[in-house]
Formats: sequence, C-alpha cells, structure tokens
Amino acid sequence: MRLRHVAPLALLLLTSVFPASLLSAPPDVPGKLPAKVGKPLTFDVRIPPGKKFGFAPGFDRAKCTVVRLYSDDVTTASFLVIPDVAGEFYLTFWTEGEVGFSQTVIVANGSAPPPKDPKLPVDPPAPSTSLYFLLVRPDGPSSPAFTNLIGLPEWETLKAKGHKYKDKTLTEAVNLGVKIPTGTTLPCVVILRPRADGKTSEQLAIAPAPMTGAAILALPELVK
Amino acid sequence: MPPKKAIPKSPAHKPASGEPVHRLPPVFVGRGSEVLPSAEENWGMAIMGVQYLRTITDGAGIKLGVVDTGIDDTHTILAPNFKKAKDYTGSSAGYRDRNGHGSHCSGTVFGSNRAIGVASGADGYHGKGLGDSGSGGNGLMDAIEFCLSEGALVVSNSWGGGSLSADWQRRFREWAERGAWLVFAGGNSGPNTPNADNPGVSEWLINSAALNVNLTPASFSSAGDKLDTSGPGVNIWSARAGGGYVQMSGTSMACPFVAGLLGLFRRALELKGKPIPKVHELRQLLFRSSTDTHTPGDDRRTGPGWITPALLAAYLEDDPLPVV
Repeated sequence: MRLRHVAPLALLLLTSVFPASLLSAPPDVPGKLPAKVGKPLTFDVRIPPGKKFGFAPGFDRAKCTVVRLYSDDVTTASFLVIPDVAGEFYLTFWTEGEVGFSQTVIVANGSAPPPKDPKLPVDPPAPSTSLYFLLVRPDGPSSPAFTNLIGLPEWETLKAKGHKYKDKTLTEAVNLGVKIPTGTTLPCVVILRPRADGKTSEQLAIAPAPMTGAAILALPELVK
Repeated sequence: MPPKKAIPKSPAHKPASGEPVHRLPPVFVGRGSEVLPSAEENWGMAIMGVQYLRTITDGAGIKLGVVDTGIDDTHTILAPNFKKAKDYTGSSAGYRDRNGHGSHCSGTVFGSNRAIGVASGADGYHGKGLGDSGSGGNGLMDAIEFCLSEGALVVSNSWGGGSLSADWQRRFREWAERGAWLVFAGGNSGPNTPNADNPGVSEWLINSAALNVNLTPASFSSAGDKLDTSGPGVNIWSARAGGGYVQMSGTSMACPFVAGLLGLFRRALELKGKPIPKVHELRQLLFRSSTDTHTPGDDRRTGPGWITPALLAAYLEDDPLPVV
C-alpha cells in the first residue's frame, strides 16, 4: 500500500470509531430568542472543542446590529444583537471544515422610540373652538320658564358638537369670576371659551338667554 | 298554595313615658289594578323629568332605605330589588306589611319597574318602625339605624306628627354628620297648619310637601316654614301589599319620590367622582334646584318648589375653568 492512500483510509477508520456528532457537529446555539426593538440582547454559542467556527447573519445589518464579543474563552463565543425593527433575524453558525449548520432566530417585537431632537420647535397648542354656555339666572329656585329652557333638546345638539352648557345662579356665576354688568336682565347666557393654557376661561360675550331651540342652536354664531 | 291564615294585626303602639309617638299621615287610597300601570299614568315620572338622572344611572350600586309599616317582599316589583328588612315593632307578622303603606312607599323608592320605582335599579332595605296599625315610637329610630348600618344612606320616612325630642334631634344630627340623607313627609293636615309635621322640620332632615298633577300644592299638604322641596303626591301608583297596584295620595307618596330621586342623584355623584354633600349643603342645593311653584320664592306650601332632576343634573357637569 502506497503512503498517499493512508490519509483517506485513516479518516475512514476514525469516522467508524468516533461518533459522527463529534466530527461534524455545528456550534451549539440557542434556537429562538425573544428580543425587544431597540434593546440589546446577548447570547452564547458553544464552540466544538479545538474547532473554529463561522457565522453569517441572514438579514440586512441595517435592520439589526450583530457584534461578536471577544474574550479569552475558547469554548464559548458571545454575541450582542440590537434589533432596530420588529421581525425575525436568523443567524447561521457552522464549524469550519465540516458539513452542517445550526441557526439562532432573534424574534424582535415592539417599536422603536421616537427620536429626540431638542432642536425641534414645540408648536403652541391650537386655540380651542369649543364654547361653554353658562346660563345665569337669579339666585334661588328656578322659574318654570327657565326649567323649560334648560330642558330643550337643542342643548344636547350643541353638546354633541363639542360645546358645553350649565346653569348657574347669579352668585354661583360671580364666584366663578364671571362679569355680569349691573342691570343685566336675568336669565342671560355668558359665553366662555377655554384658554390655551388649559387653566382659565375667557369671557367672550353676554346675551339674553335663548328661549327657543333655534336660538340655542344659533348661540355659537354670536362669537364668530 | 296553602290558604293564607289571617294574621292578627298588632295593637297600636303604647309609648313609654316621654317617648315620641309618630304615625302615618292620613293617606287617601284610590283605584286598584292587577295590571301594571304605564309610566304616563304615573304622572310624576314624566312631569318631573326623572330621565335627566336616569341617563346616568337607574340606581344600580346604591342602597336605599324605607322606614314604614313593613314590606311585601314577594311582590312582583319589590322582590327583585329587596335585600333585607327588620321589624322593630314586635309584630306577629315580623317585617311583613299588614298595612299596605310600607309596600306602596317602598315601591316608589326602589320598585324594579321604571313606571313605579324612581330608583328602579337600587338595592332596597326596609326597617319596620311603624306597627300594623300605623304608629310607632323609639323603634322608628332603630329602624333608621338599621337602614344606615346596612349602607342605605338615603332613607324615606313617610311618618311623623309626634313630638321632636332632644334625643331624637341628637341622633338626627349624628346621622347627618355620617352623611345620611333622611327624607320625611311634611304632613297631610292642610294649608292652615302653623307648621309642617315633626320630625321633618328638623334642620338635619329633608322635608317634602305634596303636589297635584298640575304642580300646585295638594289640598291636604301641610303648610310650614321648613319645607325643603315638593314631590308628586296625588294619585300615585305603586305596589299593593298582597299583589297588584294601587293609587294613594299624601305627602307619604311625595316623600319616597323625593328619596328615590335623591338616591339617583347621590349615585350619579358617586359615578362622576363628585363629593357627596352633607344634608345642610343638600338643602341649599335643593333650594336652587327646585322649580318655583305656587307663590314666587320659598313659600309655606311647597317650599322652593318641585324637585327638578334637570337642575340637579347640572351639579354632575364640570364647571367651566375660572374666568379671568
């Protein structure tokens, strides 16, 4: 037997003696790893003893960062991944010179936080278009006419459009800061609008209380 | 079903020395019916505007009490909401109603049908403090305490006419400071009385006059300086003890209507996260939330007028932001 035929024969003998897994085992890797977008995740890969391994990401690296963290440990390789978007990111590992591979899939959920740019201007809050109709009546019990007025369904129509209404006695209204000029005939309606600061109202107008449904619906026109 | 045995009525309450004795105001019994009346027939529901509060709550989640002659807890419209009752009269019938007045009042407060019960979703409690003949003494106080201890902080009391002792005043004050709203019937002694019935005239209680369907004072409704509001009190349909329905008239009928409305209002305040006023603040609130009737302003027949759910509902809405 010539010498050049020994190596293939030796390999054949070795494979018959040793389990196949030791000879052709890819790196031991975790199968599936949950991750959150924007959050770093580390995991380890067991390297077959005395072997070198390779790996390749099966995704666009602009969507998921993957970095090997080097150390003196020759039996374990550590990786850091940071998904930038939600999705599944496959990493394939193999033992150099051997057939077969193993895979880890990073399953990323969530969404990336919005970018913080302190240079962006803060828009002022939009002025409110909703109005508050304060029906002011004399102190004490309500007159039947006023009770009828407050019960008209058109108030709910205004409410459905985003406005508000409420009845107050004169003293209650004044305590809120409402200005009722002396001599104003009651009941009256005071039209208020919330300010952009969200803390105060401005008084826009005073008018005689509307006594019909049509007059109620026409109230927003008084301050246009 | 086995035939019902006649249960002897308990004798009239014999008071101990100095014990106040109160009784039912004279009540006028009208038509009876085996069929449930409609909401339109029970005029108070429609005219008073109960719907303003019912859009928020039907009373589910609140406990309401009635102190009266007992309750027919098997009645079709009382059984569903009835929770508990207790007798403080020593009646052989226990808490059951052998008079009829208590079942009628209970039906108006928490009857499960919206045509009859103002707070038709509330849990109902009944303290029997009036005997089968319609009178009672210190047991009435125990009956109120029973309702309050069960968590029913709005209690309807369609009785009065006796004295108002210092001890009773003290207890009413204590209950008021615990947050209780105790509603009383003003009395049925007519327009020429010097004052409405005790104990409703106490500052710690809500006293109610009775109105006709045209919102004028009922002819029998007592006059007085201390009337906090008025409610429907003429030809009011409610539960008839033993089954069916019956009309009754009296401030006894106005009182449970007011109590039921205040029960809805209190529950609505809870649901809206609003503070619950104590009784003095509630009386001021009723003053501005009643609709004037009879003579302008606060008068001796109707107080400030009829209790108006639409005006009570205003307290459930947020105020506008302070005006500057």
